Amino acid sequence: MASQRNEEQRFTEELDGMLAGGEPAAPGGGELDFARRMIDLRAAPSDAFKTGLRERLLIEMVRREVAAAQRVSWLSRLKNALAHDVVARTAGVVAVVALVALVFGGMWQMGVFGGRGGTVVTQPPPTGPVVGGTGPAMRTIEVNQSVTASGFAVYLSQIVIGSGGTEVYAVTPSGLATDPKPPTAEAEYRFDSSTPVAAGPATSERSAIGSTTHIWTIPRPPDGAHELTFSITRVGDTAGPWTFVVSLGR
Amino acid sequence: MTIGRQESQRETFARLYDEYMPKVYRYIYYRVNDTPVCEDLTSSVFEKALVNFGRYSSDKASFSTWLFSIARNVLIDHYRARRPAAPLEAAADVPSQAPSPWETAERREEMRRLNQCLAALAAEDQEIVRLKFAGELNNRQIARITGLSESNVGTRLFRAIRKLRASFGELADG
Repeated sequence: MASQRNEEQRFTEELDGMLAGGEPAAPGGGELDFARRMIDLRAAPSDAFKTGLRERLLIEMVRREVAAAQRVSWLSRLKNALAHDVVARTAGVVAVVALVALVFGGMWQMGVFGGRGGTVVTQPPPTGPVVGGTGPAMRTIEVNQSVTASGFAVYLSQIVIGSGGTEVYAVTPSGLATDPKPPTAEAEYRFDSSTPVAAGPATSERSAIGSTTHIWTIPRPPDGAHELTFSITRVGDTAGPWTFVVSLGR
Repeated sequence: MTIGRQESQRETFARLYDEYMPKVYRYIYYRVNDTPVCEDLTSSVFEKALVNFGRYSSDKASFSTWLFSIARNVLIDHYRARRPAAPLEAAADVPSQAPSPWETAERREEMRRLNQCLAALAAEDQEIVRLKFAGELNNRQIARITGLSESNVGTRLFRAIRKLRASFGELADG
């Protein structure tokens, strides 16, 4: 019984050693030889699958981080405005009062308080790509488009239209640069069919695993503009273009 | 815009992916024996891991235990959704639809035979073998995932390999 236990124990230790890349310390028995054969027969993922899935997961992670950071940024701006700006604070109080009045008014219309009934006209929820936002002053358009050119997929996560301009967020994969510094990125844009304009330098931040988030700030769309065409023409030494057409959802 | 705060989490996930992806892939391959399905399910495991990564706590379980629990659930869901009538063991008999180009015919045949022998073991023993050889987990980690005691895992693993060896030899001779 004890020798059986010892044999099992030894087998486990030797097997764990082989799985870690070592060779059996003692002359291998039949089971250990067979285990070696099993290890040699194991399947392995292809390099293309391994790197493709890695890239996709990390881009998804970046997308989530940008979205989370954007939510924090939006709340911070609102907080700052309410803390420092009397007009904004007053507007905030008015907005809250109006919202409360709207909710109670709606409930009263529906007869929740036992008052008069009547036809309730339900407005359909807003649809389309515009989410979040605070009215005409600021809004976020979730783009989530990926375009492949020159063998690399570049991801445009979102654009944020604020009072100071339009921020465009893009993520480029690790393969586009080997230098630890973020690669420079060039882009141009146009609203509807206007003449393309250089987007100027991007603020770029490289992650430790290689992908880079680029943020361009371009002017607000002119009144009545329906579409933004944003074209990343070069990332590091690699020429694109990676062209994204974004509906402004007016 | 502060992206740096979460940088380390992304870096950690990338490192864990590099370490565990081949193991999860092998673990699933042992079960499905089909490259495209294996790739789909492996992707699914890591997508779930990514979504829940913020909630993972190393105080509760090691990353490998946590990840292979996800992989087990993905496999269970896969068979529940697609092959409700087929026993799990039957999966090992499914021939590979798209053999990898680097696999020689001889190697493929050996793998097929090994899967056939593996499928003849008790379900719990199959799982121990897969977690050991594909996941490269130690007996304590396997015990945590399967709910068995560590010593029981060691005993069952040894006996399972002995049985596999015998049946593999019989198939080759026969």
